[in-house]
Amino acid sequence: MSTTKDEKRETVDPARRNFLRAGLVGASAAAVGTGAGVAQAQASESDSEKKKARYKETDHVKKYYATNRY
Amino acid sequence: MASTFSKVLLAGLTAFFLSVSLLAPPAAAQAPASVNPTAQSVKEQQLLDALKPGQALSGRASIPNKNAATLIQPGRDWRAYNQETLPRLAAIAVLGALAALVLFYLLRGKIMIDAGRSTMRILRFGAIDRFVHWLTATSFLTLALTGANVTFGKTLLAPIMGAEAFAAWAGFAKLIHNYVGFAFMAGVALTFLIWVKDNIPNMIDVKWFAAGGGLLSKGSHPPAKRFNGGQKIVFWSVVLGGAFMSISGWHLLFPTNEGLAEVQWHATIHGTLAFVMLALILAHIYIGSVGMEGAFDAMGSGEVDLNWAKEHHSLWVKEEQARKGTSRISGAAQPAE
Amino acid sequence: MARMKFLCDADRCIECNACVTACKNEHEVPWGINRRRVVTINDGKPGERSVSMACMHCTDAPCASVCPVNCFYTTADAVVLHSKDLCIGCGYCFYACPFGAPQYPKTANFGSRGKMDKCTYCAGGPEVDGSQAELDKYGRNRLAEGKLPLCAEMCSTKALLAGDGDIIAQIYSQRVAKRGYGSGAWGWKVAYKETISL
Repeated sequence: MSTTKDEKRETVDPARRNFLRAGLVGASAAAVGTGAGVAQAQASESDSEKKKARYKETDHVKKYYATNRY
Repeated sequence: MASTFSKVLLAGLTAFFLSVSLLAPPAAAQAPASVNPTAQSVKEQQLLDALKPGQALSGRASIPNKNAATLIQPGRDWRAYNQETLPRLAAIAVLGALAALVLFYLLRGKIMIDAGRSTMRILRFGAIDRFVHWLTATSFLTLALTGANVTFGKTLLAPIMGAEAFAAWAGFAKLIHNYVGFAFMAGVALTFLIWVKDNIPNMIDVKWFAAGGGLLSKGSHPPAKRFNGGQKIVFWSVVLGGAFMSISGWHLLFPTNEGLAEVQWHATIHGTLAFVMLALILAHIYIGSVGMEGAFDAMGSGEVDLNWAKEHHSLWVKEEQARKGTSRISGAAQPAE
Repeated sequence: MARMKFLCDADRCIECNACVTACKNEHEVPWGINRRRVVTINDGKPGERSVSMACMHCTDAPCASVCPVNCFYTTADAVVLHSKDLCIGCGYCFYACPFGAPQYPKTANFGSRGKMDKCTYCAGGPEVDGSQAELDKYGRNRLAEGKLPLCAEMCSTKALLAGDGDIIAQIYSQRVAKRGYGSGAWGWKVAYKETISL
């Protein structure tokens, strides 16, 4: 009886461990992701670029000023 | 028909407006409080003028964070102190201490054991004593380095390391500082417990100071018990200074429960006291290592040369020799010559 | 060059907290962080006034001065921004800020409180304008889109003013002249070392 039990245990479908492999792949993908994140951080603006003026008196802004004068 | 109706209407309206205008004066008397908003309006300038130094302009906010109700905390005193005064004071304290020690070394040299080394040793600090000392010492130096990084890092290290590398190091240093702080607190508390009984100031210390601690001239050795006057100063500085550092540091770690002015005070105390203690500890390190022959053994192996002990802690040696039970003195007696 | 400022007309603010909500929604800031808040002075008393307050983008900003890693920078629009890549979450800017602007994502101690977050004047951060990284870390960059901070743009009573400091000061002075009263430009003296003469 007991031997059959052991045999049974050994014939367990190995496919059920695939989720572990999936986990590994996921982790490495995450690692690649963080790597990409670092690359993106390096792609941030240069010192003069990040300090440049962004404000422009667009029509949108002019409209805002106008409505606030009421 | 139409004219009678209009007459009645006119009379009615006149009566109504008359009654309104008659009733109006008492209503108008109350009006300024509710109608004219300038009468009791809150003006920012009035509120700011009414503030005492360190006070904040606050009201009520509907979000759970209680600190959000503080509207404006005027005054840039802390910033000025933290950015200008503190680095200057710190540089003077630390560089001044180093310069004084170098000068002292050049003038006085290494303080040697006058009678020369003996063959006998006496146990000065047991395992517990040394553990507590090195717990406090290593945590203090770690905290001093990581703490000084906050004051001087961006001017000294950041230009060499670059902004990113320096920020990474500073973030790591901050973590170290915040957690090693608890080891230092434990060290200070244990230091107090195990050594307070030998550190009560008395008349022997006055005489010790009067003789300059024997530091100024060769062959001068004013008597001292287990701790001399200088060591007592170090002890109380570590205990009291450490206590203030712990309290202020605790408040900087958990600043959510108090106002900004309080936190700024804690930061001021923490920074200032840290550099004062560092200057003092530099002198302590000097005299415990290169400054005096045989001094390091006390905290190294724990056993000091008997002649060293006789010169620097004469009364303590007498006490130990008179002790009954297991002797703390070991080694062969001086060979007869 | 236009100098960006905030001005809250306390005589118009009705403490509806829509600016607070709009800010949280626009930038998707985490729970517990309020880049903007409304404080009511003399609550329930005569002369009660409400002021919407956030980072004022100070001239010679105290946060930038005390930061041990120099993570702050001021743009040409005079907007005070910071880099979350450099920030170590030490809390010094929080100690120095007169307006309680710096916020932290966690209420834990400063050992693990997380990177500082504050009002960006809807101008993002050091990441490329309009990028996903910028949105995730700092929120929307409306200034680069030719717009103004959302809190001010959507204010229903037009109490909160944003934009070119000279223009909004002029708008405010006109209002005060017309209606005959004004409680002042809150925070201007502390932030910009100047105020609007009324």
